Amino acid sequence: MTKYPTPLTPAVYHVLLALAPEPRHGYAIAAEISQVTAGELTMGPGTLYGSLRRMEGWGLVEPSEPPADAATGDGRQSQRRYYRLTPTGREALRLEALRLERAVTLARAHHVLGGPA
Amino acid sequence: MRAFARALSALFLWAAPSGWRREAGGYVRAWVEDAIRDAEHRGGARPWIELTTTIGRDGMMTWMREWRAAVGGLGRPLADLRMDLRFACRSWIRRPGFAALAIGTLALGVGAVTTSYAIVAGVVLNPLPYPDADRLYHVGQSSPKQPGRVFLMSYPDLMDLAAAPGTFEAITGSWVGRFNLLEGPIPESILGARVTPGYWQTVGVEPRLGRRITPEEYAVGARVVVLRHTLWANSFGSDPNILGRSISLNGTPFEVVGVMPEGFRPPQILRQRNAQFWSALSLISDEQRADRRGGSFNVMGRLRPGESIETARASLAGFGARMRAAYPEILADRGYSANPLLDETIGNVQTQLVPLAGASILLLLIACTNVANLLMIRATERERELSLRVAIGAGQGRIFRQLLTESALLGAAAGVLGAGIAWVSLELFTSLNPGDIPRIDEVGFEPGGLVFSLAAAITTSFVFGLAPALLSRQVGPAERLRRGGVGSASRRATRIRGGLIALESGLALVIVMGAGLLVNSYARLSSIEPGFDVEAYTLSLGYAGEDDPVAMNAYHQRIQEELEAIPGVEHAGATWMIPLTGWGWQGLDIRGVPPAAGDRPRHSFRYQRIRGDYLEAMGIPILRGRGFDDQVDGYGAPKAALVNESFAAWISRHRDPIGAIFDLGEKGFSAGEFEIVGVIGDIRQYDLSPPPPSRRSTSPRRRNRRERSPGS
Repeated sequence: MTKYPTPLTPAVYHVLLALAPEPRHGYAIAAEISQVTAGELTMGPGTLYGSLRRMEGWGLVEPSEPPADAATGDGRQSQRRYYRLTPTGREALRLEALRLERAVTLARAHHVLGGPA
Repeated sequence: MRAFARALSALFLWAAPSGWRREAGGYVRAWVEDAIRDAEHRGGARPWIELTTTIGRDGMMTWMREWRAAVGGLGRPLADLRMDLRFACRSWIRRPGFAALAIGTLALGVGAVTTSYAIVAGVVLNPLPYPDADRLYHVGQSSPKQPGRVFLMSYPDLMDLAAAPGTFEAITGSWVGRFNLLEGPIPESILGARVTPGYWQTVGVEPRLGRRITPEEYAVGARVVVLRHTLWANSFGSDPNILGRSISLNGTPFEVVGVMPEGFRPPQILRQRNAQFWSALSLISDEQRADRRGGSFNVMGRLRPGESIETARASLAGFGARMRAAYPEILADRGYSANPLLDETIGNVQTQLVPLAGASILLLLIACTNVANLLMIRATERERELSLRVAIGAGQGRIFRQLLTESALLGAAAGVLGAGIAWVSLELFTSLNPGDIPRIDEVGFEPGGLVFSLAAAITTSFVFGLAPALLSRQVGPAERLRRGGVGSASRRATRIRGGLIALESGLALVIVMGAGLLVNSYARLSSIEPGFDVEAYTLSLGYAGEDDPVAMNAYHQRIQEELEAIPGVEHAGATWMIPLTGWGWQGLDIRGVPPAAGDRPRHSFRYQRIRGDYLEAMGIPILRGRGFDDQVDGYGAPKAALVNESFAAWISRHRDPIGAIFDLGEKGFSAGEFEIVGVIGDIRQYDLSPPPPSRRSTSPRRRNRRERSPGS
């Protein structure tokens, strides 16, 4: 298993973020990302699948059983693939968030974000 | 929208490498279905726009990424292709005049070939629009004097043939006439067909609504009618409850039992092109039904599967022999034969269309040669540019690909423009229908012609677009740079160009000769004297009054007077068939002229009924004697007739035509004795082609004020 590249790309970061609360399937991840980024980052099925496949290779995510309360939809349940964070993935997300936090703190210190000095 | 989103993602999946498709297909489909449900849930157009753009963009990116991953390095060629395309566009835009000339020339050639192919395919090559149309035949009497031709049949013959078991699965006979349809305040004059009950099985098309006319209804002469879709839509507002409704045809109620499907094209060979309804042929007069001598009905048959035209003709010959044995006096020299329906329908139009197609292919060749020449000139110009590019490291393959891209772009642009030209000219051609081409309404855009002409255009641009690279291959880059545009390559280019110009001149000569012949035949056609004034106006009227000759005569008289009262109207008259539409047929004997020889007891002639100032209105000259005079020939007066010049000449061999008397027998509304009072000029009554060299071409014209309205 190869080490994931750091810093994480926005796509990888947001996928991890979307999976942090609970396992999700493909479209739910894309919809969550689109929503939290206010449409700035949209991921189509091919792109998302490619990202998930790579992230699986890096050990960040793994396939998961559907949650017990998952909507059964109209019989397409079986085709949906759910993913969840691995411990490595959760750690990578934490490290990336910390890195971003440090970056934001730094920016504030340099007054690049405006507001009170 | 939902289907579009699904189709779009399916398209990208299909285009993706198979490994990826197997692996991710289910995932992608589930994603798309979830997204569709979400978009439906959110409502409005926006989610759909977002979804389709996401699928489109994602599909492109995934497609490129996965193919690059699958074959390794295909991303590079794609990037190169993009660069080539950009460069090609720039190089054409740099020389807009050259590009427009080359694209325009090729597009004209492509358009011409595509158009003429569509016409030839629609008229000649495509089967007629009936199921198993190759089993359909025109059946009829044959004559040893005119082998290969098939003529009309008499009603008793038709009935015997339809009843005789033979090689035909179904047989139908047809007669077409004009009827007054009273639906709403204004009577409508429409054409209607009377057919035998085998009609629907023969054409192989069933009514869309309701049913056919049954043999039982036929046998008792039931007044039932099947409508054409256009009549149902235009005159009855596509009334879904039309079945069982009573409609008035010539004042007689008919029950609607069926409606034919939209787009059903009645066989032209049965003269049904414009027929609006079908009723039973058994409704014709008793006299017509009993007359085995005459021939008034077009007959069409459907062969049994597996039978050939030879077996069909053999069985018809057997039928003929049986008939001659049964009616030796009437049918002495009569035979029966059949011809393929397609051949009979298109007639000799093939001989006119094929040269047209040939000419358009020549035009395409000339266009290709022209463009080849243009590309060669450009090649000479570009020698230095290409040498420079080779000198700074561009590989031969890279240059080849660049030139190929430019050529492909040229060919593609010409193809798109040519398809547009073809589409517009086809629309024009089918709406104008020059030369009254049969089946013109079946002509439509044919991709085959476009593919052929596009292939020719692209091949030309490929071959000659690559010329610069081919020409300068053997010479080293340094040598080439030194020579610039005057090297051996250029000399070779000049030689090729010389050859192209010679070829082009040859082709142009052929096409000019062909065009000359076409113009010549067109000139012959347009110089045909139709025998009447083509500036005359006609209108078609229906009649909804009482079925009484006196009332009808008064009605027609009133219309004529009202027309004459319109300022600017010089003459007004009436006829039951205007020129170029058809004739009536009549057998007659003229006193003082020997009776017809052989089986026919009477000479058979075409005739026409007229009234008022018809001759003056149509500009038909009176050559001898007098025309009709309302005072002398009015209703109740002795019956007068006019004959045309050819007929008069034929009578003159035996006696003076003026004053000659002929008798039309005792039955029917045109019965009695007629006196020929005048001779008028020949006119082309059926079409513009010269009349066939048979006696039937002569045509007495007469008028009888006591006749009933046309078609009644």
